[in-house]
Amino acid sequence: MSTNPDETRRADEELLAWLLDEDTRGRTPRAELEAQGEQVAERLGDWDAFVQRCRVELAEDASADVAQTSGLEERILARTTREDVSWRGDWRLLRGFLGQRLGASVVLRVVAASLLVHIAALPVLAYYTYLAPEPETVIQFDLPVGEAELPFRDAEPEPQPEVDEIELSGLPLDDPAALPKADALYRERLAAGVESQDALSSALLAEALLDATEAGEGDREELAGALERLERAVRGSALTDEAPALRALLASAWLRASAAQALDADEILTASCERWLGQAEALRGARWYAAYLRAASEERAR
Amino acid sequence: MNRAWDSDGDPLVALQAGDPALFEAFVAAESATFLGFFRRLGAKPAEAEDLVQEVFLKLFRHAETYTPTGRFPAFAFRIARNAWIDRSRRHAARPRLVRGDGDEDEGSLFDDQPVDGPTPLALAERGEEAGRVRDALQSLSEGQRLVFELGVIQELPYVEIARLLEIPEGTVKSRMFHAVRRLREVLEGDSTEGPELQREG
Repeated sequence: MSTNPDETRRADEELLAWLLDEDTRGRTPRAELEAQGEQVAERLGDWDAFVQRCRVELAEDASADVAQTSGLEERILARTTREDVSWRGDWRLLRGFLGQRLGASVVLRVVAASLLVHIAALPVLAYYTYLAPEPETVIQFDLPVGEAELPFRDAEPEPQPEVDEIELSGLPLDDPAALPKADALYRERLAAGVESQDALSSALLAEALLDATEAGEGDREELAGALERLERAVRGSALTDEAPALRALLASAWLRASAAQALDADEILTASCERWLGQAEALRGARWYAAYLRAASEERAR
Repeated sequence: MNRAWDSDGDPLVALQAGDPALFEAFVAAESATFLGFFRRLGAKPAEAEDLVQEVFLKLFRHAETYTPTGRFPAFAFRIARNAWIDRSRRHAARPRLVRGDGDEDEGSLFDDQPVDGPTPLALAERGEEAGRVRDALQSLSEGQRLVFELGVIQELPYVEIARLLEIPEGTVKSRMFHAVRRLREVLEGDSTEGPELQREG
C-alpha cells in the first residue's frame, strides 16, 4: 500500500466499502482484493474483525435494552392495528392525551392538582354548610307599588298657625346675648295669647251659662239642651284654675233647674253643688263670671 | 433488520390490502431494531421507546398514501431518521449549558449524559464491552454516527444510505471510514488524541 496518507485513507475507505456495501462487494471478489498484496489482506482482516466485534457487542447491548423494555410491542400495536375504536378506545385516547399534556407542562399539573383539591373539598364544605343553622331571614318578593294618584285632591285645610310658632317668629334667637330679651318677649306674647284664649273661652262659657239659666223658664228639653251645651263649654275650656268656681256656677244652674222642677237633679250632683257653693267667693274674681253677670244684666234690661 | 421485508412482503402494502398481520410481524421483529437505533444515536431509554412508537405510528398512518419506490427498510429508516431529526430540533430549542470556555454543551439542562462522549475514565469505570462500544459511538459526530448505524448495524447499501441521508455516495464512504477509525481509536486506544467530539468528517 502507498505511504501517502490520502491514498491510504482512500484505500481504507474502499476496503470498508467492500466489507460493508453489498453492491461494492458484488463488483469485486475478495480474492481479487486480497491479491493486491499481503498488507491489503491484513488491513481487510483488521477492519472486518473490528466491524464484526462492533456488531456483536452492539447487538448484545441492544438485547439488554430490549430486556429492560416491557410491553413496547403491545403499546405500539394498541395504537396501530389493534387500536380500540369503541368508547373505551376514545377514553384511552383521551387518557393518553391528558397524560401526555400533563407530563409536558408543570403549570398544567399544578392547575390539575388545584382542581382536584377543590373538588375533594367540595363535599366537606357542603357537609359543614349542612350542619350550620339556617338563617331565619325570610326572603320576600314585593312588587314595587307606586304612589296612588287620586283622580281628585281634597282641599287641604289652611294651616292654622300655632301659638308657639307665632310667638317665636321675630325673636332674636340667634344672638346669645339677646336671649334674655327674647325670653321676655316670648313670655309677653304667650301671656297675650293666653289672655285672648281666656277671653274666647269666657265668652263661650258665659253664653252657655246664660242659655242654661234662661232655658229653665221654658220647657224642660230646652233646659236639658242648654245644660248639655254648658257642660261641653266647660270641658272645652282651658281655664283649669277657675274650674271649681265654674263648677259651682254650673251646680247652681242645676239646682235652679231642680228647684223649678224643670229637671230631675241627681243626688250626687246636688251634694257636689252644695259643697261648691261654699266657694262662691271665687266667682267674684273670674272674668267669665263678670261676663256672665254683664250678659245677664243686659238680658234683663232688654 | 432481521428479515428482508421486501421479499417477504411489504408491511404497508399488506396494510393497504387490509391484512394487518405482516405489519404486526414487522412490529414484533423490528421494535428492538429501532430501539437500538435510537439508543445508539444517543436517546435515553424512555425517549428511545417514544421514538420507536412514533416511527411505527407514522408508518401505520402512511399506509393509506404509501407507494413503494425502493426497499422498505430504507423507507422505514428514513421515517426513523426524520423522527430523530425532529427530536434533535426539539432539543436544540431547549436551553443549553455553556461551559466556562465558551463551548456550548450539546445536552440540555436536564440531560445527565453528555452527547459528546464519555471520558476515558468513564469508559474504564463502566467496564462493559457492549456499553463501551455504544459510549464510543457518542464520540462521533451525528453524521458519522448515522452512517455507521445504517451501514454497519443495519447493513444498508451505501447507495441507499446516500439516498436516505441525501448526501453523495462518496461522502458516505468518507464518513464511514472516519467513523470506524475513530471508534477504533477510542476502543483500542491506538490514538494519540483523547476521545473528543469530532466535527463532521
